[in-house]
Amino acid sequence: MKGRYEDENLTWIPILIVGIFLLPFVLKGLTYSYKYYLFVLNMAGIYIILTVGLDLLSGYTGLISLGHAAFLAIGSYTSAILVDQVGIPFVFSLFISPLIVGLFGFIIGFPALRITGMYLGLTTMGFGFIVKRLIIAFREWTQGAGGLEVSFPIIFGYTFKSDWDNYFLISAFAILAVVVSRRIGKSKIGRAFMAIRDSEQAAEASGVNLAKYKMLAFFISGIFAGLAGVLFAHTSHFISTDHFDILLSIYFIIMVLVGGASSIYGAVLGTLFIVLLDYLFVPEMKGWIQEFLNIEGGDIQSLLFGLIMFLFIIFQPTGLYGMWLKMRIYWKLFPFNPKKKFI
Amino acid sequence: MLKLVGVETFYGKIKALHGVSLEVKEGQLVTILGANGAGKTTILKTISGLVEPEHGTIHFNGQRIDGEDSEKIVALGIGHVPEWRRIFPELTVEENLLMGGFLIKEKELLYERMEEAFRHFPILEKRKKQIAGTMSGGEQQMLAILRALMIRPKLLLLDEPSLGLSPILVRDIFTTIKDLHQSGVTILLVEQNVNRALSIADYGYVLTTGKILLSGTYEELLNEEKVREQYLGEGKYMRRSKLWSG
Ligand SMILES: Nc1ncnc2c1ncn2[C@@H]1O[C@H](COP(=O)(O)OP(=O)(O)OP(=O)(O)O)[C@@H](O)[C@H]1O
Ligand SMILES: [Mg+2]
Repeated sequence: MKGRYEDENLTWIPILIVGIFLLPFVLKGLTYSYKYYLFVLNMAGIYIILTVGLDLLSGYTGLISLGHAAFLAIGSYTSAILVDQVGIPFVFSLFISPLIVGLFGFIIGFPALRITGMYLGLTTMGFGFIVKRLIIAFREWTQGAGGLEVSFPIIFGYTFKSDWDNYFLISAFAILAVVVSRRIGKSKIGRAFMAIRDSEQAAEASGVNLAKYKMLAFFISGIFAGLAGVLFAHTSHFISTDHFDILLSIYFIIMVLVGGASSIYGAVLGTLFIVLLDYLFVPEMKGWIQEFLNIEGGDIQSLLFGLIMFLFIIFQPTGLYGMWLKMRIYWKLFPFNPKKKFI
Repeated sequence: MLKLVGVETFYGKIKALHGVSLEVKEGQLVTILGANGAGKTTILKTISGLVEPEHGTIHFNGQRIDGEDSEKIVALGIGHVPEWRRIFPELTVEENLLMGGFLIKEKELLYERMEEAFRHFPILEKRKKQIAGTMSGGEQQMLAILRALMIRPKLLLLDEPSLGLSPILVRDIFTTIKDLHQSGVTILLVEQNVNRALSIADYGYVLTTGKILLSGTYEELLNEEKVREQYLGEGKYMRRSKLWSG
């Protein structure tokens, strides 16, 4: 017995992984603007690393964080400073920086021992503001609000210079993040996380040390966000506080919710969905609005994402992943399915 | 086996227990009776370390356990079935049981215990992949009890196991409790179903607003004017006006 996912069909996973690494070649064959698509997919990959970690914290453990853009920022700035100013090789920073962010997560976890729900959301959001101020204040290392240039990722002498190169680097880590987060989710630790979410009292009565596991959830989540931050800083070459806006933290939560909280694949789907929408659909939409209504599109994505989240929470609380599971059952039973809609 | 002396527990500034003393001897089934808000749940929570007492002592098998982490108290062999069958609704039946055995390190033992739990209540075995929150109230209560049995507790704390169940299920639950007791588990049972609780208990305590008012065996308590009047006198149901009269 292996628990939650034991009947899962795993044969398609290698195919999917091969597909991920072949995708750039396919895109190149299909379109001249493949570089833009790769840039978008790189963004999605980085965010996936963060959101699977966020899912462990908010989806599994039920501890809402609206401060994950700040964790991303700490990871980015820490690595930029460690590599470019202290002189540590990028490969080491890949390990050290996430751990440092994990420790920050640990510290932010303290208030979570006493507060939950919306108040925790607000507290973590406050943390986001503080981090932003601190980045500006430590001008000496961070160049303040002006932003910071960051070196290319170098692994064993190979420099990743283009979106094409970065795609393979980011995909590899994104796959690793998904595998590891699922492992954690399925393990005894993951079970304790979900137990805390379902009933703190019953979890405690079963012998779960609430403080320990809540802090652990923040720590683990911080590590994932930190790794995302390292990759973000070095693959985009330039970071500033504008990249880590409070709104981004909210988008992260939307990604997890839309995908289906407490399912790692859900977080992956939700992130892809929102990022693709943001980079590929929203610019188009702004164009249409401009054309037909003759008004500025402005920050239309906030409205759009808010609406999407709203609709999902009401009509599809199990998210995209839940939708997919239902569809699969529907087709498996076809044509003997009950006369019910599958969504 | 379990001994509380002068236990006082607060929720913030509200005093919920005003110096409770009680004892459970090895092999006994002891029941705590009392109206809503009397502090029954608080007693159990204080014993299992979910809340900390301000004053007083709690000894379990000669060891002092008040103020200890619940993690350690569970490890000593106190199983707690919380009020309102607090199962983990979004976990499967199997995962709920695995959580009950959270402190068991050896995998084999853990699965052995799970098999044992299923033998107690075979219906659950067929449903081990079911999300626990989708089961009926009675099944959930059974699951909550089996979950606490995973560690093979020396002492089992049961908080109103019959709450919200249909009469047939109430009977089943009480039969299960009786069986457990006969198989050698020491039980501290909190109940509002006074007749049923007393009929299977060796000893009972009556609690009002955080204080022990009376204690005794079934017969002794039945003879007490106050108990008859407040809990048994008026047929099956308590009169609402009496609930708050203490
Ligand atoms: N978490 C809490 N915070 C503040 N007060 C509480 C809390 N839990 C219980 N109380 C108060 O403590 C007193 C005892 O509550 P307790 O839950 O122990 O009663 P009970 O005998 O179990 O009642 P019931 O039969 O309704 O379950 C009540 O006055 C209640 O309002
Ligand atoms: Mg109670």
